[in-house]
Amino acid sequence: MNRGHPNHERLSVRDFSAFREADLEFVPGINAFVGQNGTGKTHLMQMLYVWQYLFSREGDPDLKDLLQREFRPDHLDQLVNLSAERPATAVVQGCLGGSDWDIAIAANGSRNDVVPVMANSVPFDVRRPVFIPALDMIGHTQGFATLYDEYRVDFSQSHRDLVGLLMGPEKRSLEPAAAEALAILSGRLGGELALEGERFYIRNDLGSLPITLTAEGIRKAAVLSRLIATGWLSAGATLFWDEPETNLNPSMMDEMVAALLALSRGGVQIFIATHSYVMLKELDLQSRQTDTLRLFSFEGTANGTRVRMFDRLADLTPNAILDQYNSLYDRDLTRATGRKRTGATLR
Amino acid sequence: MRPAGRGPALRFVESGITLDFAAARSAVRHDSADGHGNRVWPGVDFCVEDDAELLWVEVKNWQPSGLPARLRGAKRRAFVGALKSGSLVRGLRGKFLGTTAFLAWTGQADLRPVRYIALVEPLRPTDSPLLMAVNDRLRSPMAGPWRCGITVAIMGLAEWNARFSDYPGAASP
Repeated sequence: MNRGHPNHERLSVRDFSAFREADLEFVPGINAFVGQNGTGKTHLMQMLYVWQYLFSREGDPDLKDLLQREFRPDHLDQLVNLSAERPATAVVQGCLGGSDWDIAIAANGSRNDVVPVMANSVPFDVRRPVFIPALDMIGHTQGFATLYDEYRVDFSQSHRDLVGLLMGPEKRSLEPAAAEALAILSGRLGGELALEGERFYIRNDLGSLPITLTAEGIRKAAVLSRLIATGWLSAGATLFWDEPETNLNPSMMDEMVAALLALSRGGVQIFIATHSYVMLKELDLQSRQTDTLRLFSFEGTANGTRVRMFDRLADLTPNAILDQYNSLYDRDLTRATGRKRTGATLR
Repeated sequence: MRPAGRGPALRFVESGITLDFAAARSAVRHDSADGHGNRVWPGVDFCVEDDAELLWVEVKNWQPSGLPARLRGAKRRAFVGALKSGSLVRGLRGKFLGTTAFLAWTGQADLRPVRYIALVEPLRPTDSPLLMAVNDRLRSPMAGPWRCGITVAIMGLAEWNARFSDYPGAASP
């Protein structure tokens, strides 16, 4: 469904990170990456983020510098798949808004040999992307931007970028979809989210509470709310969210997913990397026929991570999350029956 | 209970599910006259004497053969609703207690470890998280300072046949 905004359409990787070869086709709505740790989900999102940042021309960034700051390797050739026989080249090819792009990273002894190639013209209306990392940042805003800009600290560029976006001014009015998403989240905050200086507070009848004293689940809702209120998540935007379920009470999952779906219906393309069956099931249950949702299973194999695409949760395979539940259930029944699944009796 | 020793073919059918207990020391229908004869309180379907312990089996088939296809969705929803609401758990617990009380008061109590199995069909591969939650709910009020162990589990036919291959089960098509 073409909604008139430049979207990520596809990505192909060869010998990049955990991948020997993978091809992904994205939807304009919600793209969910599912798989075990170490299968490269976050790295793919980071690569999409880097390239879209470059396309957005915010601050005229340098690709090598951006890759270095985002992935933080000792040397960029560490992004080349470790199993690929040296000399090797990682190739990442994507398409954003109809424009193809390529990055080649060589591991051939010449460190930091990175070649960006753009095959087509660059669309002019690419928005600056939004990346929410797994690590909470809304509780670390005070002094962080200055610290990052002046010193070498071990945080990705996306952490710094998020803090900058959170500190921006609020919009006077919001698009209907954004307003709907904000309304869904507002009830969970327990008050009004306010910025004083470089620190966030939750204000209610009981007073003003620094956000550092709130639960991390509340802070997750606060991050999404702030990004909506400041206009960063409106039609045409792209959101990358790494493990949205981390430290989030399952009881909040339905509102979080409802907000994400509202944003996607309003024209935000969303990428999430998740380990949560509850989150996937909420997406499955709350999505409508008109929503576009695609699931990508990431499976570690001897030949690198294998990626498969599905449009229904019921078809997702392998489903690493459900496999873990099945493993727990299997052990539960073994203990209860005194018999293993093989029929062998426990002694 | 039937006298010890391998009996004749002990194949029972309950709600369209056939279970073969021929390999057991004994097996009875709890409510039948030549079983325990419990017509007083809700009780389990089958009481089986395994080598060192007892198996009490309750069968629940929410999609019996002959159910029109147009009713299957509603039946599935009702089944999941019963799992989530706790009504199935309450029912299963009640049957356990009814069986225990009946056997005690009729002098048939056998204080050996009991494994209480709720055999439910059909299930989906994605039902395991819900079944684990049901297992936890079933167990919590059954924990106590009992003289012998009581364990409880809810499972489908696939799990039953994998773990109790000596008592094979099958669902009618």
